[in-house]
Amino acid sequence: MKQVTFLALTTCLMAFAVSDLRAAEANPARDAIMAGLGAEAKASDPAFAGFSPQRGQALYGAKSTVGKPDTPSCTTCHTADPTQMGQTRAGKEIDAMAVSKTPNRFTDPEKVAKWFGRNCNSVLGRPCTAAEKGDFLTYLIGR
Amino acid sequence: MTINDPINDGHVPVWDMPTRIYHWGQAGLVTLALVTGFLIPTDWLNIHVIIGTLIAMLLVFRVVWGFFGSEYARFGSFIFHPRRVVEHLNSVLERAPAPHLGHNPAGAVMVTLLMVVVGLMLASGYILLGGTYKEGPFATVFSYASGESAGSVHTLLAYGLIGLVLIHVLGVWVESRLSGENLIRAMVSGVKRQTAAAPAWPPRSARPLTTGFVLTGIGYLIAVGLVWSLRQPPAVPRLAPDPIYKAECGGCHWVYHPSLLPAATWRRLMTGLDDHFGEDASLAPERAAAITAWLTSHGAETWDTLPAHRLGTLDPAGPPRITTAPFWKRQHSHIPPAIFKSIKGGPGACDACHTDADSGRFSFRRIDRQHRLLLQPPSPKATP
Ligand code: HEC
Ligand code: HEC
Ligand code: HEC
Repeated sequence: MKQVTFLALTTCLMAFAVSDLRAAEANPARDAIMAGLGAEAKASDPAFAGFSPQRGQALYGAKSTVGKPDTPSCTTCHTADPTQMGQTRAGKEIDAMAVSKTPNRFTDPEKVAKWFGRNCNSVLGRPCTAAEKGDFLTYLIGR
Repeated sequence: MTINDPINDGHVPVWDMPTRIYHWGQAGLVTLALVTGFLIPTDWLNIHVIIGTLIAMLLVFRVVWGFFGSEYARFGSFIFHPRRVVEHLNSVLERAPAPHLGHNPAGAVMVTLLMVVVGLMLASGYILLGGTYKEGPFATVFSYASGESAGSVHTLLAYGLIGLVLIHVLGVWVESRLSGENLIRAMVSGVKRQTAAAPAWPPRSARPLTTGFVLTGIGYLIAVGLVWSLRQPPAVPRLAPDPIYKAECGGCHWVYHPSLLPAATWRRLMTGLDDHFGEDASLAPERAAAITAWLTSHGAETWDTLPAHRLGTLDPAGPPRITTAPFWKRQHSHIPPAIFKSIKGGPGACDACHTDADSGRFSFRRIDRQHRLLLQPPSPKATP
């Protein structure tokens, strides 16, 4: 158990070093989520060299034809500009995804896991990889 | 023609002022009640209820006045033997009706019938309001089933009342033609031509003081009843949504009241969350199980409201949707699609229009009409 935490922490530090996290305030819960994703990504791909906000941005705006037809993109609900309020298909407002606008974003690991699970399946028709999740969060933490 | 000088111009006062006010008030309000009851859309139905309440007040007064009013207003002055009614109708057929100062025997039957039918319509209307809609003083007294039965009676009586009113007007017209006395004008002025047919007994005069006393007593009893009804627990029991249900199912849309679908449909909806109306809404199994348990134990079967009874009979094999149920579609068929488009969430956002949606009651008195009234043609730049 201790070793896993240690591994997670070191990966976390690595991730910090290569990605642009300066814009967001540090938050231990969010850091732990990022660390976990980093460790997972490293475990599945030894050549993993850190998360990229550019790849995250691409994923955020990508149009998919594979998932469910009503939800072609993350922007369907989260809007093209992550600093703006989004809206579900059933009409409820969604707080902006950018951490600068909604500071408590990505701080509850269960919530993050649940929505990645749902939304990746809806949009992409498959689960997201740890690297994709990390890229996505890195992009939004920096916005 | 003046009332002041009845002897000189041969006219005598017959219909006292309260009777005339009652007559024309009743005529106007009953017409309005029939028109609104048959024609206006559900979200304006409260007008019909208000009209009904005014009619009830008039009728209570008229019944008391039937005992303490002046001679021709009293019920006692228009009780005739059935044989006299037949005789009178025969005399009308022979185009020579016997003159009467007050109601003639046929008219007396009609007037009594009208009052009885209006009284029964008021009673059935209040039972319908309480039982079916869970509104008004009897909301906690009558069940949905009694409300529905009363509703059928209410509708049947309404058709009957239309028939009675037409026959009444026809009768007045025929009598006026045959007797040469304009009976409609008499109900306005209150005086009629002096005839030989004045009653054998001396005309009784009105007793306004006694009337006031009796009405105060009745008013007091009604007030006590109203206070009692206001202190009853709510007719639709308040049920706070289960916290897990609220948190998990309120993220994308309004937290649907559990009474809006039967238990079997909720169960089916909960087993298909990975493809929930075109979206993945899947949940951790233990949370899904908790939600299923709560929804199925509070499904439509356990409520006595209108939507629960009408949506609780959904085809279990159909889509687990409220907005495709025939009952829902019929209720909302008057609403132009542009209104639903103008609402965030569309038809499924029940709470945007029904301000009591969270209670599950969906009363016609709690429909927000601003969407209808403020409807603008969609602006060109709104469409991408
Ligand atoms: C069908 C609408 C919809 C689509 C499409 C969608 N999301 Fe979401 N997403 C939501 C909603 C609703 C929430 C909950 C927001 C909240 O609680 O503030 C959410 C939340 C999230 C969260 C968790 C936010 C947090 O604060 O923890 C993540 C991560 C997320 N979405 C990722 C994605 C990704 C990645 C995509 C594209 C692959 C995507 N979403 C597409 C509706 C959507
Ligand atoms: C990821 C978003 C999301 C979540 C979470 C979600 N729903 Fe839905 N729900 C939808 C969408 C989208 C629709 C379809 C709206 C439409 O077509 O107008 C819908 C429709 C419905 C309807 C049908 C409404 C109608 O139009 O008659 C019901 C009932 C419903 N949801 C219940 C639930 C329950 C119960 C849960 C919790 C287990 C839940 N929903 C969670 C997105 C969601
Ligand atoms: C655009 C606003 C709007 C929305 C959204 C809406 N309703 Fe209605 N609803 C109305 C109006 C207006 C009426 C009255 C219809 C008429 O005029 O005949 C009505 C009537 C009803 C009635 C009958 C009420 C009565 O007393 O007879 C029920 C039940 C009902 N709606 C349930 C629902 C449910 C459940 C939903 C959500 C799935 C919903 N409504 C969504 C506007 C709306």
